[in-house]
Amino acid sequence: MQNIMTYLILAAFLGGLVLVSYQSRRSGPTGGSEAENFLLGGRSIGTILLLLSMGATYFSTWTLLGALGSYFRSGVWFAGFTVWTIFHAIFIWLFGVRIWLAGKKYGFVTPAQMIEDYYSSRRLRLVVAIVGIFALVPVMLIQITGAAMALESLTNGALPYWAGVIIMSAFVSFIVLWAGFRGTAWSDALMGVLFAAVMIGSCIFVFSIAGGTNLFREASKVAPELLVNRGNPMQMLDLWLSIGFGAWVLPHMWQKFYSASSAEALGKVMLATPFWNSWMMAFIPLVIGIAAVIPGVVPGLTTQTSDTILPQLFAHHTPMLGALVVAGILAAAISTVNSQLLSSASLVAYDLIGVFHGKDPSPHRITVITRVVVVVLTACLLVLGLTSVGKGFLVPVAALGFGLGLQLVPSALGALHLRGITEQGAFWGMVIGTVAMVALKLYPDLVPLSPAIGGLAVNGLVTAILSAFTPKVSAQSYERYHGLYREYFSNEQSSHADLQVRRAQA
Amino acid sequence: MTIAKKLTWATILIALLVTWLPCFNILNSPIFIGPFPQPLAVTLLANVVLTACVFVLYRLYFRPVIARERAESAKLN
Repeated sequence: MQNIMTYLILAAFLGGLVLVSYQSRRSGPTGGSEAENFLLGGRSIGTILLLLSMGATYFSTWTLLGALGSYFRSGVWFAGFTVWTIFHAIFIWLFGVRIWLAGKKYGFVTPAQMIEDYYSSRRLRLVVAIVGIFALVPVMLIQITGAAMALESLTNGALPYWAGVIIMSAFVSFIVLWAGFRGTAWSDALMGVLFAAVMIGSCIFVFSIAGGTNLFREASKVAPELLVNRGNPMQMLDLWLSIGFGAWVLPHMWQKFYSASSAEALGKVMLATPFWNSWMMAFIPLVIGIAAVIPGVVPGLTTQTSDTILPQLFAHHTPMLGALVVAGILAAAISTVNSQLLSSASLVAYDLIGVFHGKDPSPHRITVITRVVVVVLTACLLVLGLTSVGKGFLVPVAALGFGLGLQLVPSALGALHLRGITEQGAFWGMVIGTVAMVALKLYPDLVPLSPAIGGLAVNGLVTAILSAFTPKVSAQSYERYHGLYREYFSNEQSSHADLQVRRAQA
Repeated sequence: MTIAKKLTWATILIALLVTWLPCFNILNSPIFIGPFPQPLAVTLLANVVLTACVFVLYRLYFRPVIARERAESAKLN
């Protein structure tokens, strides 16, 4: 009976998702090119949709599953999560608005296009695209495997892990192929609201059964070591840099900035981000994860099963509501993986096939290639999800992808802020930094640094040294980017349009 | 950079550093401040300050850009 209820609720959830995607598809923009509409929602995404879509994309299964497990295992040490999610708001000003401006001005669809244009370097475009795709694969993988684990846990094995992986892969692929970016953004919004509701509901429930305002005191009686910070700043720095700082540079988040309708939309998203990202999505898992150590809250919970706290909580206390929790987890997973899948496919279509093609293919051809790549990538994720790699702890697997994404930071900073970074520095920095990261992953005892920190340090060092001795970017590139930012973001009273006119006259 | 901007960035930097203190065993005692253990209370307090700073950043940086954007679109219309 319980399983039938679960299946019914999940079917209703997936049906609702299809309906929302259908509506968004019908009301989509028609002004831009076919590829621009399919991949960036016609650059017309407003504040609410952008906020919900960015939030739902960033917060994935590792929020609803992995973050709770991390709080359960590490206690208040993991509260750094609530800090870096506030910095996501600050990153919108520091990086997002510049990415949006350059994207709008010069018509970029992928991050690699912008990097190529700034450095006048096709090889850099290729490397950025390859690193970007490989960075997204582990993050996409944990969405599918995390949701499959939750389904298996809630149905007590009636829906096995492998079946969950197949259902998730097929459904995500269908939504992305059918509805494109706008459908993805709207389904993100719906799912963001749903899993926020699940989080808030779960928090209120846990708060009521775990001692209310005495929750942390109750937890300290059972596991006092979780209520003090365990130290290990290097590990926190690793998470801070990879999952926290590295988030804005990942291709799918970069493309969210491109999709914004205006600077005003981005500004308002910045204002709402601390509340949505930190005070809700990062703080609530802290309450639930630490409450889970109190006897009776999640009976039978162990470290090994701590990545499925939420399904176990509801499976024990209110089995009939458990399906809603799994729907929330599926929402979190689908809303993340659909954007990443679309983004990865656009990187392959524009930056890999496009580069080998000799010139950028037509918008229609790009759309067709993107759809084919979505199917191929989904098949790869399906195979990986069924292997033992896919069943690792969620946060460490996610950190691997985010860590690789960090390799994109120095070259991106050149186009956004640091004028001194040269093409040679950016290219060799990324290549050698990525090799160093892989080496540290394979041989962790080489130096006492994590792969993400070590790789970024090597990348930064090589970039800095080579940039000091190699030719600068052209004056034209410098003016097209840093000149544009200077004019647009200066606080002078004269308008941007007036400045443009003066510049043209000069 | 104006004084207001410098002050805001300095406050952000200090609040960020405060959140790292418990990692170095500073403000990391097994005592409670209200309902929260000390290291968590410190982090949450810094988060309140950081949230306020986001609003100040919006006012200092985004508002002029948005005003200019609106003026431009009014000029075009």
